[in-house]
Amino acid sequence: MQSKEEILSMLTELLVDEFEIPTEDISLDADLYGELDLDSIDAVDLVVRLREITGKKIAPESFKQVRTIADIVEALAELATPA
Amino acid sequence: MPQVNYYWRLLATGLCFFSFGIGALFISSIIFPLQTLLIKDKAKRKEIARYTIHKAFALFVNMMKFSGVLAVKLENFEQLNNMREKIVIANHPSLIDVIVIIAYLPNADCVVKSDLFKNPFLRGVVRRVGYIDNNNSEQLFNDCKQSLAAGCNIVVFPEGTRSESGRPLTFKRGAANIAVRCRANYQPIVISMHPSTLTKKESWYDVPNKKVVMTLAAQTPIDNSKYFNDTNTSLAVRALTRETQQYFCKELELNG
Repeated sequence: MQSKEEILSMLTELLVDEFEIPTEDISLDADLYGELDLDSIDAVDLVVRLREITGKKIAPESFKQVRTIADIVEALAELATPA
Repeated sequence: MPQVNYYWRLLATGLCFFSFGIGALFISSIIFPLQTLLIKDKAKRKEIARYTIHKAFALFVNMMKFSGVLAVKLENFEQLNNMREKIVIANHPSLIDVIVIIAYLPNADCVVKSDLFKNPFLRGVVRRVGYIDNNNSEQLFNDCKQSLAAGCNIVVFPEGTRSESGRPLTFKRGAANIAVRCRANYQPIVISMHPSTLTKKESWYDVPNKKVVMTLAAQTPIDNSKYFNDTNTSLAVRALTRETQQYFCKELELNG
């Protein structure tokens, strides 16, 4: 069971280590494609890595609406707690 | 006299672009359908369509040259004659860069933005010659791999849009993604235009006060293989993007 804080710190580590995003730029409302300068190819890579790390199936389609760090955290938290 | 010359170049530029639009419609509504009737083999058809575009662009460039609108200088283009499986990357000062490159490069494939597949003048052409749509990334890499395996060279403008003149270039990571994921090397072409024209901010009728000299310099190919076996693709792509961006800024003497 992962808390949102744990998810955020895992995600931060991933973005810093593998996507060269400065730690200080990462906040819950940071825009992935604007402020964080990710592109559509990065988004696909990010989904693949998150799938590997969490072991959860994340559909790339569900990532289409994702715009901010908070959106990813929410999406992962939802996967972690099946309704 | 400079006045007369200016109005002549304005008129000639207008005529060249008008012919380009008419030519594109003519090719996609008459020549390509004829080729479809006469050539059954799809691969052969694409090859001939591509050759048609190569020749049509060469005709357009010659029109601009002979009407005195443009002079083109090529440097080291002999080395491109037997080139295969390269990603041709160039800076993007003007609207006509890709036309000039394809006019001098017979075996060129091209990654184009999705919008062109919706442009009424150009969609017939880009579909037919099988240019690669940059919309869907997974499809993009497969298309590029196939094209390279067939011996083609893929033209990409890493900036993704036209350069802002005088400003340091900023590269998007698409070109490096193709290079790393398809394991291909770069053939850089440095383009310079004096005076600058047909930039993102100008319309076709903003004709400069003297004839434009466009120089295309083919550089020594860049070996990208040190990035092919990186365990982390996105870091490799970022490093390669930085490296080539610095390379172009240095060649163009822009401080970036």
